[in-house]
Amino acid sequence: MSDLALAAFAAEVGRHVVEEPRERRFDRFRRSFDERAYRTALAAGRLRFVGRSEPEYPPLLRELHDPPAGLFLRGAAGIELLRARSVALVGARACSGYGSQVARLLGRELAAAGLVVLSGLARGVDGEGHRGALEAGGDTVAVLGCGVDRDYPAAHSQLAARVCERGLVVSEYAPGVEPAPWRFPARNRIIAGLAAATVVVEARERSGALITADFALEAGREVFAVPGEITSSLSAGTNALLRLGATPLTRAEDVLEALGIESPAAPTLELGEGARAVLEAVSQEPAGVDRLVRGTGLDAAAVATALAELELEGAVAEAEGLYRVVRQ
Amino acid sequence: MLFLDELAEFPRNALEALRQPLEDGAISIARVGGRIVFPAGFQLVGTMNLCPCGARGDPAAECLCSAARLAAYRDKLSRALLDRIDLIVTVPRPRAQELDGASGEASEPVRARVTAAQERARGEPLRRSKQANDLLSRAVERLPLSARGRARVARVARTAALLAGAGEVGAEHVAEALSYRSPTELGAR
Repeated sequence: MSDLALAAFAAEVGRHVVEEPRERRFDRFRRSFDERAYRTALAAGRLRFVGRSEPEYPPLLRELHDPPAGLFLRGAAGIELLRARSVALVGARACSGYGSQVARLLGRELAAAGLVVLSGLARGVDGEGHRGALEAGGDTVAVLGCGVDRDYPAAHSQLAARVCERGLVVSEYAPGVEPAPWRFPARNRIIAGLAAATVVVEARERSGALITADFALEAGREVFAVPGEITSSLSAGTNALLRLGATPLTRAEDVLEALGIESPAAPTLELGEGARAVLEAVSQEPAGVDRLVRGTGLDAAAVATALAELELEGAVAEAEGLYRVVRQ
Repeated sequence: MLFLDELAEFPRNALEALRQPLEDGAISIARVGGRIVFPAGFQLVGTMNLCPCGARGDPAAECLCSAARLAAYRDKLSRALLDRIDLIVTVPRPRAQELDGASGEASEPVRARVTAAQERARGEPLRRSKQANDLLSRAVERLPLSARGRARVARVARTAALLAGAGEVGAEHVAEALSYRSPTELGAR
């Protein structure tokens, strides 16, 4: 049977279809389906398709109990990128400054260690994870919950283009399929299915990221959760995961160790005296400029100079008026 | 001085209409009967929260804004308008003991400093030191900083040097100017 016909049929009827449906409508569809013409149209749109019955189909995805009939692919990378070892970075769309910084940091460090960073191209944690990987010049794959030709959300179309430059945008859904709420949990099973490990950065209770974590657990993959403040509802989901036995993630090396990967040696920073004092203060707790001036005894100009130095070295980053250490 | 409280609550077209007077110091209105130009030189000062509910960035409160609502709020300020705002400062919620602390500098000495800086600005333009140039190039390389953003940082650094009474624009002035870039939350640098 043709995996492509199944995927095209799912798009035609607007349903989620994994197994060949025993219905007349499908039989009729399959008889009239012109696979050659469909593949030509895909190629014209610079899209590809890999079916479940093909040997190139990602082996980890095949392990799911309901693997998609196939994946549509867009981007410069070859299909083998989906067989490379990858980590899913998922979390809240309306994440905090802390969440977005942690996602960016993890994306950067995991990609720098040679892992593929997988996520869903959504706002918040997803986007920051992709951006971090791109920043490190690493590989990243975005899995969509709509047709592979769509950039969803539209605000991330530029990000999608950058992912495509050296990575892949993939989807179970054929070109033209509109995003719909029920498609996103199905998309999350693909993110979890492709990844050797899933990291939840920030998630409320009943967040979509927890669905991804459930799929990962079900598939027997490692699940990490980034601990958050117990008083923040944005951390309620991740802290609940920790209570259930997820591995706490406090540095990117935790993931590398679990996957048996040697972590690359971090370059040591050569910092001036002022920058060292400010880094010391920021590493105790995130702080704004005013508090750093009071805490270090340096004047405002010296603190600004130190922060610029640290920011350019990638040691600290600012969000919501507070500077945080982003490299350990 | 034009002070707009809750900047992001204004309609987007009203905010966009500020671009021309910010650039030219004048508003021109064209009607069938002709065109009239009104003087409109002003300094724009605005405030806004990090999110519509105002809780974001406040450790004591919980922000409940959805991702879409947050994005719509922040999209109110176009990149073109943000590009015309020289100084952007994010103010975290102060702690009780910080509010109790000694009050800051009085306005009188600040006025004297500003007047002196304005006086100096009329003289020979300040040059940038080698360290200042190095820092600026490194910033352009490492940070998402547009050409317009670079020019703005250079301009603000010059003002910082003038205010400090320095003989040239040093690295510390460029560093200070870098800290006034638009934050990532507003999606532009």
